Amino acid sequence: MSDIVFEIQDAVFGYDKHSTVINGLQAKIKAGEITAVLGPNGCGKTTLFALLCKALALRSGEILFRGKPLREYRRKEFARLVSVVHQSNAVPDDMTVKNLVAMGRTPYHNTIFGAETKADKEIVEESMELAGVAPFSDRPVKELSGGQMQRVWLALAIAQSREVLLLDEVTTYLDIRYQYEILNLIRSLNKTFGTTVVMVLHDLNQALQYADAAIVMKDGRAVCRGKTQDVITENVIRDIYGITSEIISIETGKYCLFNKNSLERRLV
Amino acid sequence: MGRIPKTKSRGGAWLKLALIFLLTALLLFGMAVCSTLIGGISVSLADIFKGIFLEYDRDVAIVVELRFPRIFVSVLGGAAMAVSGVLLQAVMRNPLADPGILGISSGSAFFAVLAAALLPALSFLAPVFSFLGGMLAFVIVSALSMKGGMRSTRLILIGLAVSTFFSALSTAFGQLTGGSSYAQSIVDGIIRSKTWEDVAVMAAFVAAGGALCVFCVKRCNILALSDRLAGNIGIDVSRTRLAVSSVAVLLSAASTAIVGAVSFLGLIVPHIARLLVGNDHKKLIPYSALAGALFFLAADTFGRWIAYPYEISASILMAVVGGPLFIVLLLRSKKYV
Repeated sequence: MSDIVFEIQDAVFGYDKHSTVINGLQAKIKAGEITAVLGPNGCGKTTLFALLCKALALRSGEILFRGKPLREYRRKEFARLVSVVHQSNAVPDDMTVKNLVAMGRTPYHNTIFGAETKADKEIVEESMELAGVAPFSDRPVKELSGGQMQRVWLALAIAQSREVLLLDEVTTYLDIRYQYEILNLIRSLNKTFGTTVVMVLHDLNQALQYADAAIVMKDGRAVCRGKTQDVITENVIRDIYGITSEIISIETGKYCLFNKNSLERRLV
Repeated sequence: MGRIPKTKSRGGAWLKLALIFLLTALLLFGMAVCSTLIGGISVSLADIFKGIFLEYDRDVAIVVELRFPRIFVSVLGGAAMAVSGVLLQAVMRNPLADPGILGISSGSAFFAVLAAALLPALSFLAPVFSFLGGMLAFVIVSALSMKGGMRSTRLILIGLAVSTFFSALSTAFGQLTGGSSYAQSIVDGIIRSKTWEDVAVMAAFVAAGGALCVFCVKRCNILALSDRLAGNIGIDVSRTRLAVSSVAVLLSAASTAIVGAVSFLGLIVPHIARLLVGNDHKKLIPYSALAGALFFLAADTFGRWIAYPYEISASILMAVVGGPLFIVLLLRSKKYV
């Protein structure tokens, strides 16, 4: 049991009384693995993500984190175990990279006297080193590019916790080089610290290359889950996205190919 | 895209910061001296020194009993209002928040007037009643504007309604009780005939609020991030908001109970402070306190001097300067509207 980090049982959630976004979702997320959450727009990926990071509460069903219901964790206790990165975040322009990364130590501080200890400083330095943002630690964040900024958010997350990392479309707004830079960084964190990673992704090829497991969602349910290589098939892609594809295997791995004829006319 | 401009050395930044603080402190001191010397009775600094420490002098005694308390009241009130503005701006994540605009000052003023009329023996507790009134106004405004995600237009409209409502109540109450001068001075925000007793009461409450500010610094910096991120790093955002706004209301109440409702000070001063020392609350809060004291004392001194023997109240001057500036800020910050 202990190798399961998140266990989602019959999860139901809706933003108002009349509709549901998550409809009886079942899924398990294994420790030490990178799990990709895939699915078309509006399938409930982002909602599931918000439920996992305790930003929303279930209407019915249960989410267990290490065998204990998520709602029984105190916010601070949970924050010491699970850190989160979103695709974009607001931050005051003149805050320095170091001060922002140091925010990751907040859950370890006493609420009244939140002083930064020497150990905190070391962890912050090390996290910036790992994420490759140490060279500009004293710069204000407004001077950074999108790719650098996303690495700063990762540095904050690893200063906070190296146990579990939740990533919501962290590569979406980045150019291709930065996308792979971020994904390699995530891969190396997973290898070095055994960090469990759950990431919402759009790019199936990136999922094939980086994720050990995948959960494919449609209409608020997990329609299939398992090893990424097994889950992403031509049939699944057609059922979920309504688009034909060709999956090829070459020596570097499996790839999905799409072209202008991939859209099926009956679904348009 | 990849290259980052070289930033100034850290030593330089600290020197600049120290200079800004020092210059403002010197200006404040200079303004206090000006304020001491300006008025109907003219005395020199030497006279004052002699009058206090060597021999009794009637003119000096008047200055000590009338002008000194007024200076202290202005300094404390200005500092408290400016810091209250900074805290509210952090809580609402909106640089246009101000205890005057949000109706908190009017709520405080009404409760102070009410308490003064009904419980005159408890005048030293005026800031406590002000605090209750301010909290009431704050809860009304934030509950009603929460639905719109605290957008400026909604916040300001509701603040305006609450503010007008409480001011009207204060005026009506003042008229009912035969126009007590305290009621009128609180509603209009006039610093007149303040005593050392007022200074003591105000100092006690401002000091309490100031001490609580120490715990707000880090919280304000966290609230400046998104709610989502604050939640992720283990912060209970609603509870933190309530705690910081209580301190803001306490500071605003301490000032309002003695000086009356003052608008725009909590808006203008933090805005200037942000330009000079940045958004880090570790610097922003102390600098806003200093600059708020300077601004309000300057406004009071100028108001006494410009049309002597008549006076223009400091709060009117704040509104004259602050109104247009508020509109400029509103037009510039499109993303908040």
